[in-house]
Amino acid sequence: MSVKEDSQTLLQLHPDWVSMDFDKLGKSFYNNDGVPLSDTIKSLKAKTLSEALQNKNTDVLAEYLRSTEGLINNEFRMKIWPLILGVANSGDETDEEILSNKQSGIDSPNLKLNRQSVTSFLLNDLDLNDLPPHKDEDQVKLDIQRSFTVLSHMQSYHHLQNESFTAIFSNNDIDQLKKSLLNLIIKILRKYPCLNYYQGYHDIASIILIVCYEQGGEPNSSKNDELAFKLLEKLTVFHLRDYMITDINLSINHLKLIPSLLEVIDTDLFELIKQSSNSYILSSGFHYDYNFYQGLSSILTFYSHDLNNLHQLLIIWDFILSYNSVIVNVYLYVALLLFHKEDIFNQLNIDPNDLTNAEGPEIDIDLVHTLVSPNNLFSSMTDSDLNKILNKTRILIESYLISDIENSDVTYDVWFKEFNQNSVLLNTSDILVDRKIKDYKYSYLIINDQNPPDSSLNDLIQLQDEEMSKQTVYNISLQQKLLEQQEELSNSTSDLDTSLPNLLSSSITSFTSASSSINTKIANTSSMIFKKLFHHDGSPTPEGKLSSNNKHNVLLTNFYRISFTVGFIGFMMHFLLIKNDPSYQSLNISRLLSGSLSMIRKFGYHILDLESIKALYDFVVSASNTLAYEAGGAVREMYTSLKDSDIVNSGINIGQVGLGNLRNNIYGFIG
Amino acid sequence: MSGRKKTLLKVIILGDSGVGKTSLMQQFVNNKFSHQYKATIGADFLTKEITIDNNKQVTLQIWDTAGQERFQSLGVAFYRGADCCVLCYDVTNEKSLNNLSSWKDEFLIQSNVSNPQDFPFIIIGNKIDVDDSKKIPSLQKKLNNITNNQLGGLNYPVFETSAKDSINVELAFEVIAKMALQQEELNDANGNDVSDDYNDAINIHLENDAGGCAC
Repeated sequence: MSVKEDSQTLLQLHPDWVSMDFDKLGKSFYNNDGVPLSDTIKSLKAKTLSEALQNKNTDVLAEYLRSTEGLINNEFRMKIWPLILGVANSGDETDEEILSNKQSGIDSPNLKLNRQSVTSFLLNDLDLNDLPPHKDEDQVKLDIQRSFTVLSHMQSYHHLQNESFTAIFSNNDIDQLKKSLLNLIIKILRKYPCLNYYQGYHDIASIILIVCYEQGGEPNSSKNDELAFKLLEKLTVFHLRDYMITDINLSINHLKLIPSLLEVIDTDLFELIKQSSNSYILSSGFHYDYNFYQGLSSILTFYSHDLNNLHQLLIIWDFILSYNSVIVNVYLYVALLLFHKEDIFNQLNIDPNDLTNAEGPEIDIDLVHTLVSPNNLFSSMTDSDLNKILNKTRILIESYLISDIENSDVTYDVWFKEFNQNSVLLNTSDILVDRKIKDYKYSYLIINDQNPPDSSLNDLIQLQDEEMSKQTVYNISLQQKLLEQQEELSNSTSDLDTSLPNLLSSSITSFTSASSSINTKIANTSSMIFKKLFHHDGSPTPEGKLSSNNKHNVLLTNFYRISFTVGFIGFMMHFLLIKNDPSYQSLNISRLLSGSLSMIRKFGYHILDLESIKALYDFVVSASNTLAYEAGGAVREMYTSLKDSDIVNSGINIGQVGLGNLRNNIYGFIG
Repeated sequence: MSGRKKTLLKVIILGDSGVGKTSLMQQFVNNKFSHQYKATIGADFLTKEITIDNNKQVTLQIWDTAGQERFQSLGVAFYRGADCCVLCYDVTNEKSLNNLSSWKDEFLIQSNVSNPQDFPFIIIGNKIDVDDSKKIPSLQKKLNNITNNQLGGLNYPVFETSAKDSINVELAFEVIAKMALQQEELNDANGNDVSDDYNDAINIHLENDAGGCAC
């Protein structure tokens, strides 16, 4: 069912409500002129909201969340967000009815179970101290010291529309909020240790906490903390999960959807962003990877990192939550860019029409970065602007379904349907699936009385990590093809001496810049693999021999350097791949290996005793098979020699080997 | 390329989360300090025009980056074309000091500078305003170990600053600007200007296109 159909069914389902509301209030609720609601209309809306809340129909409520000024105030948000997010709300007498209402829509044994769980919520049984600390807790603490800056910002304004925020948050309140925030995040992380915390998650959590912070209530009301926990838990597991797997590149996939949508919505902005991207410039226009890093903080934080106006931010959250999908963030960013389009081109002093000309305009790339960054997009945004932008977002969502847009076969389909089938966009946060069905189908991911702690989420995250690794391998092979194309080009345009050393050095020089991105990717992947290997290795080391442990420690403490070393092996693989013409290959292998074989042997000796070598070996072999059979052979050969090697040099610090030999090798090559 | 444009020097600030990268940049560019800077996500820059010794006007483009390790791999998008890299640590946080060399390595891998062996780095130890008792014990010795280590030693200028009290910040950035300018001039002289990579790439592209049209 599409989103459009969804709202149409809604009209059919509730004729009374619709005629009452759409006739009398509709114009101002769904206005396109972007005028904020007047006080009269606001109180009327509040009344209608209360009625809708009594009817407990989440579809109707979702419509309200999307309407001008969203839910108006936090009292409504505290009641409606849990319904919209599908969170069983303890202590609320309406729960039973809400759930039975839901049940009429979908026959679900799970919902009954949820109802029972309402009475005794896990949180009470969950003593923080009973659970082992999460690896990211230090980072959480650092970020919380710097949290609630939104509130401090708010306090400097006296003309605020919604005075309640300024009224209730004293410095004491903020200290209290920080303590609650720390508790909240750490509870989530300890309950789901497989999640990786990211900077910005604390912004998300702080918004939920603010909404659940009862005005004039007990400062540390456990009921409110519990509500905040449940809201954040659901949001995290169902919607933020992609951002919390090991590899950040799945988050980057989400960002890629911004230019993808622009490509079919607005060619001018798309061309501008494309032509100022690293990939396009470095490949002289051959290749565009759709990377769009500027939106990172907005997408990861539902805009809470970038928008200081809390009043506006909460309206945005109402809007996003109403769709029950994180993809709305992406559409909103596109709408923001469209809203600022004229200004962006004016500031750049570029005529959009020139972009597609052969002799395009000179683009100030740094200025583009600034102009398409959230700081610029949100600067001086009025409430009326926001209404227009949200209206636009709504239209975009209805008009451009991400899986149906013209370029989807090379964008969305590849990044999500093909490589990341377990992304939230295809299950728990899928915009096309009804929220009740999602709640029902994936409720097993949430740990509660009925779903005692198990490995469901952990397994899913591991699966997602593996999916992402596959995409990384694919991206590397893609870049590889690109390099080969460029090599052909440079060979055909320059008259090279055919003697091998010259050819080698010249091609190395010409690939220096392009290869670095590949090198980085390989290094990153390798370090990720290492992280995983060592992570799993920690407990099950069966022998527990002292010597083995020592080696293990050496490995862990020199972790960066090891990754660096592995990155170098990847770097070599890269060169092997480039030069997989047989006549060069033997030369290359011997050249490359002779320079660094001793280093690799030493490195290899240290990891030989660990089980991880097998996994690493397997990965490299399978990865290289995917890349090229020739290279696979070379790698196997390399590891075979590595395995057979007898050099005993256990005292050597791998890190130093990695750093010393390695740098000399790399720079020897490049220089 | 037409004429000599104004000199733009790109500076990247790196270091562990919470060492004060944003504060340093804000203190230098806007002369202000706040306890309220949010954690940085992704990367963003501010610019400031300054005059260095021989009345030379330069524009410093200072890139503030995220400290969480998770975001490191995105550096490749921001480091390119850098003229100087500032490695920051917190004088009260020993781990941040020990991580300097991995920040340097990571930068060299991702930035792809043309002269990795003598690329200009400087080290800034921030937060010297805090009480001595909180500082890293025998900091000087540990710092020396790091800067003079034969293998992977960070033999670079070191400044101890306080972004909060504005101590040594101007001075450090003046040195940064000079080092960056040298790097820029070196690149110009080699005809291997990393920061002009973009324009060169575009020019090659355009020349090819234009050539095609002329035929």
